[in-house]
Amino acid sequence: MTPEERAQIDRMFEPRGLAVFGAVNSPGSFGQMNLMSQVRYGYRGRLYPVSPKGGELNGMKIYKSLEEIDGPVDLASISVPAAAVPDVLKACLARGVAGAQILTSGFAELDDEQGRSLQEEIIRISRQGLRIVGPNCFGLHSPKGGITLIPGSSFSRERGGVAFISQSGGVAADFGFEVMMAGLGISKIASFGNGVDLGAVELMEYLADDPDTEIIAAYLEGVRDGQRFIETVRRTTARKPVVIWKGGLTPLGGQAARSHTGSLGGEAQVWEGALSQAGAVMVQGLDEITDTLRGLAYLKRKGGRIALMGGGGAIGVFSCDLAYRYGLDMPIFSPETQAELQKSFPTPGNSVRNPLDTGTPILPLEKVRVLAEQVLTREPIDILVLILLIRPLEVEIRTFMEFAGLEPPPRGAYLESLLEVLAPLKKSSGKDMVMVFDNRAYRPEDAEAEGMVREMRNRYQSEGIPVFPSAERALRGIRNALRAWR
Amino acid sequence: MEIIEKAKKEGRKQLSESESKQVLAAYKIPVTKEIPVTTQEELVKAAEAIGFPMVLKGNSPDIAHKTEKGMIRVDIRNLDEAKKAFDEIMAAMAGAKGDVLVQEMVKGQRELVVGLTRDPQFGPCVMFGLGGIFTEILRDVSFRVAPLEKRDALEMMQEIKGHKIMDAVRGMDAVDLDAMAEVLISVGQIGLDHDEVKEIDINPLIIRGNMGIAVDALVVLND
Repeated sequence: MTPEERAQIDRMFEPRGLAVFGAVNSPGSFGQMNLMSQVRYGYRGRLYPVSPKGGELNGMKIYKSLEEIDGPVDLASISVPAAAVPDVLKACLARGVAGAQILTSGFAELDDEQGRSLQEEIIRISRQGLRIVGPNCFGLHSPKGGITLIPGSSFSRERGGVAFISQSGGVAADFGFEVMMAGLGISKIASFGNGVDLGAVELMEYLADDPDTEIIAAYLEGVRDGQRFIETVRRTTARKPVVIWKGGLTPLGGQAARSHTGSLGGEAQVWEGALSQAGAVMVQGLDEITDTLRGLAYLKRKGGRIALMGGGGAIGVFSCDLAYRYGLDMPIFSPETQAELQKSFPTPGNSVRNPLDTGTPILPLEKVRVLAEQVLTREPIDILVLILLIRPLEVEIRTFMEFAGLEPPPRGAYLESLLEVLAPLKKSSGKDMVMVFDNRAYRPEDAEAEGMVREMRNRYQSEGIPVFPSAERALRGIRNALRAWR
Repeated sequence: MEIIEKAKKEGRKQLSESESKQVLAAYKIPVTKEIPVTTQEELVKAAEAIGFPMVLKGNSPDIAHKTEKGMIRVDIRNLDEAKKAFDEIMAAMAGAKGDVLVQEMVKGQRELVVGLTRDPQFGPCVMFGLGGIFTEILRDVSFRVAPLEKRDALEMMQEIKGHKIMDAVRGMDAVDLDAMAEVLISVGQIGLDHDEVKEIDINPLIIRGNMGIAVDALVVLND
């Protein structure tokens, strides 16, 4: 990637001026929704709606063409019909716009003559010096630049280190929400659709050197140049973790192969091998990609020796099963440690080997502190995983206190006090901590706890402790993060 | 490579077993000792050189699926058995162009598969896995994109479910992983050097001692 191209992409993500093309006067049009999404998201640069009819919209002047615009225009966001796109691009080129995102569909993805030739024309124009994202995409999102995707007007404005590139606009939007819900910060999102100019390879190369990006994730269905893609990923993973959700892993149908090898070389297996070779982690689905990012963002030691602690619901046995399934190392505590831990339990019988089964899910805070401290200071582990069952902690305890005629504690009181216990322990031990807030809100009234859980999760994460919704997801996230660091 | 050129000129879609092995041998991949024969006289001389027990195989570029067509005889202990087997195989070949391979019998319980395929997105890819009759049934294989580095070769061997087969199991030697890595790297190199090669199948690659020997091989050419 040349410095000029890089500078152009920089301008696209942080545009001083953003020109929006495409029926901006018509309520419900893509162009208008695009425009209003930037306003709602809080874009601070100059917004220029463009339509040959001119006029005004919600107090904004509608320009008849780029020529009427005075200030710099760094990004054009285009939703005009496919056949009209080339002319808009030519105008952008003449004006010195850095790049255009073409949201319109109806190009090579249709697999018909007109679509293909329109796409070729776009490529020809782009080669003259205009960067293109798309066509057939949702375009760019950048908290720093204040621009977002059409569905992204309620995305967070917080900046973070995770970047996402996606062949699918829908997945890009889902990702933005999912990651926001998970309390992870985004640096940049690019929904790049057909990727005629800036595709997976170019964007990955750009993000590899982007100082605001620490982790790169992607949703891909296919790449133009597989070899070049693997090379680019390989160079990137030397510096930043790369997580790839590869979609469309169906066996190659109809390929007449004479040999075993030919018939066994299905897309899934080859992609798995290729991504492994390049050092990327392969995931499937929003849950897994989010969990992997959580692991990567928060586990500073990058070590895989795990201690697990929790109470209730056969946690001990279950977490052993999970650790085995995910190939995780749960070293057995020394006899001395086990003896110490056992002192906290009046009646023997708890498993304190690792996992540490505390029996009851509602453990007094002081006991949690003592147990966690013993494990963290005595044992050569990297990560302490604590599993909390929210329903007993929040819902049942209130019911029991009502039975006893006592005032229930304020919502989230336990979790808040627990954080006050755990955060200093994490700092002093220098080890990683992972929480599981397993909140199964069975009754509608229990859903009240959900808001509190999310808030608490964000508090824990601001102290560097990631929070997962289940033990399975936590251990899988840890396993995937370890794979990336291998 | 001459063998490949010749086959292409003849309009052939694949190389015979012995031709395929010559391609492998050119890349230093261990192959079975074998001598092609077409007459009983040649058979006797070859048997003396190869020694018993040995294997006889029909060898023709026109015939795939030798097992089904009754063109393989293993564990031949003496000349009488050899002569009988020779006649039967010649009959089974029913006039197809080719000869009979007098082949050393490689003893080893561990059978692997090593292959090359051309992926539409990634180009030549090397495959490694559990071989023999279980290849298609277990499909326990891993892939890497050529060119392979040594690290890739070592990692792909660890990735299959049955990777412990490479260890010192049941009194057998641990497989020399460096040597096996070289085999995988070389197979990838064949694909990179020769665009005319579409697929390669080495199945089985039998472990004798701590080394893998290509006991059967198939090189498929591009149309």
